[in-house]
Amino acid sequence: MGQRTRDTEFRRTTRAHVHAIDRLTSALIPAGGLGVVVVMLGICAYLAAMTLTLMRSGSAGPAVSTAVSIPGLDAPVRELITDDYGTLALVVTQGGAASTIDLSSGKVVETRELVPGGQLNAWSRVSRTGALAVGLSDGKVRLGRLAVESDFTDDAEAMSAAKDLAIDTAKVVTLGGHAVSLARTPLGQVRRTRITAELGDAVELSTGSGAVAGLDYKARGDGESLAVLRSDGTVLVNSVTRVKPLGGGPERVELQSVDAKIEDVATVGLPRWMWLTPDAKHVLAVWKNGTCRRWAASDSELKLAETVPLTSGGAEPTSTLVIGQSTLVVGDSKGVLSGWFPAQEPTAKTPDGLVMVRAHEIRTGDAPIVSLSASPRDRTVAAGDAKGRITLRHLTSHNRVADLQGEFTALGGVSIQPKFDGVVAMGSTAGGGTAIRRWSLDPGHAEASLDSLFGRTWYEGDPGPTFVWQATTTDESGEPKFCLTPLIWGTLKATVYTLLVAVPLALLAAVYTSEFVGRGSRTVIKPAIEMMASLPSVVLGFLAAIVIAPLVTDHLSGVLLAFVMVPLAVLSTAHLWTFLPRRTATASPAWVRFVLIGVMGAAGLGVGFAGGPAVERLLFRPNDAELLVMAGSVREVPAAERPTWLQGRAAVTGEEERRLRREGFWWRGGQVVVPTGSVSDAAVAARIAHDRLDEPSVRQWLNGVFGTSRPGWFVLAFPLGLIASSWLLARYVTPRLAALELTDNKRGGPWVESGKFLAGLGGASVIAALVAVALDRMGLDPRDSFLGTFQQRNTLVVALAMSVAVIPIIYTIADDALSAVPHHLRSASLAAGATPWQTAVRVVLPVAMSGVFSAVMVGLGRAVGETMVILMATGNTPIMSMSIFDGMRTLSANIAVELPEATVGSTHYRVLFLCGFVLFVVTFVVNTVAELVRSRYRKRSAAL
Amino acid sequence: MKAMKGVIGALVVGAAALAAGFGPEDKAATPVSKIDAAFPSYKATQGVSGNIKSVGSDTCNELMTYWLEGYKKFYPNVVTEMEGKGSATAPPALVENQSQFGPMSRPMKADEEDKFEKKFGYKPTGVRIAVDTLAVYVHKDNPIESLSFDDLQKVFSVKGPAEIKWGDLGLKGEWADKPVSLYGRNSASGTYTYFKEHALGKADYKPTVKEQPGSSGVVQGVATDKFGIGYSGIGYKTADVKVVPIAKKKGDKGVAPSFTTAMDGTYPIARFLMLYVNHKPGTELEPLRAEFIKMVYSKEGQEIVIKSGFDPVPANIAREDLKKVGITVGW
Repeated sequence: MGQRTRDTEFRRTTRAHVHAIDRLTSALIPAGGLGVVVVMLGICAYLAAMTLTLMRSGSAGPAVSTAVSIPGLDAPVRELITDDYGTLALVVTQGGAASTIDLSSGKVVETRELVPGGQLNAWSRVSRTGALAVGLSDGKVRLGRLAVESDFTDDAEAMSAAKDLAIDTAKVVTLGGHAVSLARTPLGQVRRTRITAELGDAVELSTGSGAVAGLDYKARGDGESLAVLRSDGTVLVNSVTRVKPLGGGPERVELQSVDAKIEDVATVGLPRWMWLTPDAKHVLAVWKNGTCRRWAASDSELKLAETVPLTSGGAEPTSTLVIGQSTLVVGDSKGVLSGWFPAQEPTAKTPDGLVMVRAHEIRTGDAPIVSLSASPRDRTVAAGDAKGRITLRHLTSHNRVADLQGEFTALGGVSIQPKFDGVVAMGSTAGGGTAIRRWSLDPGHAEASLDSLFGRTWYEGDPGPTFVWQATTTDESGEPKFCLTPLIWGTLKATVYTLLVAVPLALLAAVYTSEFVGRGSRTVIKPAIEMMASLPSVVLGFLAAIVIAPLVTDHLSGVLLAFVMVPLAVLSTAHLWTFLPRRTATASPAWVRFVLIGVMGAAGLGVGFAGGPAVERLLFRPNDAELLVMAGSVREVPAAERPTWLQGRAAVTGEEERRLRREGFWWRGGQVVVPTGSVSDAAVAARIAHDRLDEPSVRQWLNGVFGTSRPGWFVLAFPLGLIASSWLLARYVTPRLAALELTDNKRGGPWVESGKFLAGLGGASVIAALVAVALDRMGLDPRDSFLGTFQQRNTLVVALAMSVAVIPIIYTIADDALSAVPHHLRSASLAAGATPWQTAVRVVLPVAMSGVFSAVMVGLGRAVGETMVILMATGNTPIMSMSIFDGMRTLSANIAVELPEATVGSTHYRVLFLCGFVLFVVTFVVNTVAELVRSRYRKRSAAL
Repeated sequence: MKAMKGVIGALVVGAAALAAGFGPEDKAATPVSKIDAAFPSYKATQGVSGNIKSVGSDTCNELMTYWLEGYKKFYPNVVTEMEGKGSATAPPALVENQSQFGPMSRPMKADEEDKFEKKFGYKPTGVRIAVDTLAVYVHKDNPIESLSFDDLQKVFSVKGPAEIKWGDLGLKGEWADKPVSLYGRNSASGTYTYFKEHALGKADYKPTVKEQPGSSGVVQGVATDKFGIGYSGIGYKTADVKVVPIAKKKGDKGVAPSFTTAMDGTYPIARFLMLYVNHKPGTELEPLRAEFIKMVYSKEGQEIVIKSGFDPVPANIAREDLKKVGITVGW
């Protein structure tokens, strides 16, 4: 009795530690869940914080103003430079007098007469190297250097002068007759900074006569170029190219000189400004009335290319500057800053095919812009106007960097400091004196704006705004191009094409294992497919690059045909199977069918590969006219007979070439031609045979060398044709057959069903052919969109390789979802006479829809984030094409490629975080939508 | 192996081993004769110990590994460590004093130097440790004889037509209407930047250049793509590809890359690999780093350069650069 009581007590009370565990877990589980949420939010916040900085504009500190007295400052200065550390400034007046100023006190600490005696007529200095060229009134040129030099010293005099300097402070002293800035570095060393000037002997110019009226000196990567304008209108460009052997030894120097003349100099006068673009390819002369002439410079000549008006509406240029590789910045009398550069234009009438385009226009205010200065680090331009306001704008993104109130009555000059960390300006002040003002500057991320990150941006040298991703530049003269749109495009493209391959395969596999094979086989097949997921994606990518890509390249027609032949072979076998005597068919064990499917799949693959060339011969072969053109047996079409839209084009795109073809013309080597002669002509035939021009080839068709759009449209329309014809069959034929009671006939059944199958295929072909002809008539060509020039690393290869990674994920979740459907539903369906396929598609699949849908969504998430397959198997080409034979660059692969090389904290670095953020947002949106859809499906099937 | 890029890391190296067939062909073949006779054999001294860490370019991975191994053989007390994720990882590590050496396959950028200078007051010092000669590869059956910089610009850069055919480069017959298939290194590599600056005149690459994660990837792509063209280090040449002679100017005769033509400057696309150190101007490096640099500029050190698929530097360059870091040598 007592025993029982204890037992009862034992059953009724829960032991303390169970309660403890219960309490612990009920605390831990929410804490864990909350932790996940917090971590997610944390990642999101971190990414947002990293990227939001991109949107911050630059900022400038308060003005530090010091009065300074230098004669001749009322006119714009020739040069205003500061050292790297903002301690010394040097200003050169129109007459050539150079004053070194201690920036902290405004005291003039040294004066030099760089060019003696009123001879100075033109001036140009390369800010990066300090190389200097001056043009004299007697027509001579002197080269030299005006450079800021820094070194570390233990010179006794300097050390004693610097002994009371604290860390990170500087002072200006006079040592050996020259102004020197001494600074104590963070490690206690003494750094000596001076501005040195030297000028070589005067050099007589070989061409032209009269004073040097304009001068521009540019340092290229491998030498220097000097453009000179003389008062008789002669323009000449002298270039020096140096080759410094890596192995040492003397430098090899090449000299080049080209010239041109402004013939009408008597009527138009001399230009006010003359520039040589930094790439030394163009000479730009700008007159006061806004006319600009451009000469194209080559190794052998200087050729007048075009004359363009730079301003309109009564404005006149008041200040100009060249930056980047070839951009001319013009500030005009109405306060508008505009950016011009030569760009390629197919209809250009100029000898070099380029025309000057006004790519950028920024309004800075309403006062005339009198002084311009370029940032040494990017495309930021500082424009000082007549009211003394200084506006810093990024020329490409139009971003505001800073607006500075100079409060000058007349601005003498403005200069951005060499490290882009400050701005210096000088000019006359209200009190009648002159002052030099300095602002510290944090430029922010001026090249990034929402527009430049996601929209089209007009970059130097382009005929119009474009979407470009090319983040890596060679130096400061290049522009990094951060447009995420091609990357987002690439990510979506890779995902869509992968899912097109993976989803049907994975879902059919899931239906197969959950509905058609026994439990025993399923326990083997399922882990086997799941094993596929354990293949590292880097290995998959590697295999795709070195096995799949060359295979697809070599057997393109076969691979494409296999896509049709494999399902066709399996389906045909299924139809043949119905012809077997029912007893044999039902008595055969499941593995026979399984093996048969495998064998027939393989057979389809074989037939595809073997039959590819035959199909190629049928559909993708050049006709006689095309052969004649390829063999060069052509006649040029006179201009009058050419299509009007072509005008005087020197080059056409592939799309235009095909349009021309449809109109009966060919584009060959820059000329419009039509075929003449006959392929049976011996010479032509020999040529065709020798170059194997008549070989049928899908690749050549894709490349657009020959053929109409019809075969392409036929192939693309075939799946649609299948859907349409099976719908038509189900809608119109099956009910009639059923009415005739033919389908139930045990003997006739297989014949009828197979007949339907063949009719469906035939119908699909007819529909596809009709669609192809119709689309071709409409002038559409798939080679402009879904298909295109064949690239070895293409989306097809990626889709195949990535499917291997995605299929197991979709398969395993979908299979679980299908298997979880209650068995009584299946039994009821089968008992009512439905076939297993009908049961699977009409009963099981709809019930399991929420699970199947999430399987696809998880697969999609995997495809969006996949990195290594894309990185290794594609060319990472940031292009926006729909073509399945082109590659792509995805957000994730882009991060993997570029993050290790991006300078920490730079715009590039932050833009890569933005890529991550965009990826995060895409995944988040997809998952949220998926969850919403899934919960709807779940509600529907919840009643079961 | 002058292996592949950053994040891909060890996995890729493993995968790359799978493709041993595509690896560099004739790396260690011969030429001790390439090494300047002036380089002495390295002699170990006394009292060198401590930790050495190198953080930087992955192009220099193999080179640094061999050098650090060699250094440890001379000085068993030295502890070495190496990270090679990319050139851009070198400057921050030097600034934070986390590394002693920063190998880079490109010169440091201005904003990277700024950060260094802000902390130390002087600029980092780079010494030139090896010569990397770039080659332009085409498929072995390609009949092309020579390409000028103008041609390369037309082929690889946006200055040329978007769709370029081999016929545009002068090939006839079956090649004439075949599109050129472009291969290149990825944008993070120094090779990419160097080729853009020197061969393409700073013009942007076409977006259709297929960027490969490693130099061997470029060669492999060209080897299996009959109409392909690509650029990468000369050390990766295989029997399936052909190296195209390069002319600087249109109409000049193309020059084939070799040690001789790279050294005398007639072959125009060869560059130095750099090793950056934090050297306080006016002082001498402490023995740990000084001896390492001396070893780099020795017969043994330069043999390692050849072993890694690069070309050795001439002795006069070595003398110049040793002086930059305050080392005077007797040779």
